[in-house]
Amino acid sequence: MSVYGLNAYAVNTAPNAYDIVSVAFPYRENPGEPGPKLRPGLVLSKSVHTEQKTGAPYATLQIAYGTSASVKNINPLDVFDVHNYVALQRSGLCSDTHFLLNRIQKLMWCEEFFPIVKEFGTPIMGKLPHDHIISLKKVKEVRDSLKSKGISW
Amino acid sequence: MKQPKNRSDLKFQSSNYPEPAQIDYSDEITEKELKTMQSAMPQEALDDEGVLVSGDRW
Repeated sequence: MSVYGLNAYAVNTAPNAYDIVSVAFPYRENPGEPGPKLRPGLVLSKSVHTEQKTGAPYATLQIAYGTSASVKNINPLDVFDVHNYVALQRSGLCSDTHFLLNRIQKLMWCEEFFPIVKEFGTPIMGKLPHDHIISLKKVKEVRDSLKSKGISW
Repeated sequence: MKQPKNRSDLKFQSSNYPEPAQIDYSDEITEKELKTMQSAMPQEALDDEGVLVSGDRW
């Protein structure tokens, strides 16, 4: 289904918050286009919308990107780590991963941004374990508390 | 004395993880790449807050 020119997936196939998805990341030489390079992404929220002209429903996701690159100089409030074996297995990740909370993006749940991973039959790779979800919510509480007091970190 | 099973008889649970080559964890994400992704999003969809159905807005 085309929504604003993108091939939107059905809303009922969209991941929930705290799912891990594969995100099509652009190659540097193809600016403006999602590319075939896939990265893990952590879903922080899901919203449902309707296209203004057609009324077609679609979903958008707030995504934190994952990397295994060194994050030594990042504030602990800006990164969320998934690195123990059980958590990696539940999350569908195959490498220790740092999700960057200071670079969150809103993306449509569509073929262009979230190509299907052949092994899974969906772009959804897994889900954070419950204890990780609680930890992430605590990070958000601290961030929100600092923001409300006008404190930057 | 009872012995453990032969190592060669053990069947470990197979993993269906994508190959690391398929999912890229390696590089630092650049601001340019993030801007590229955001520019591919329709402005109308970015402007519309929609109805939150899962998680919290960050």
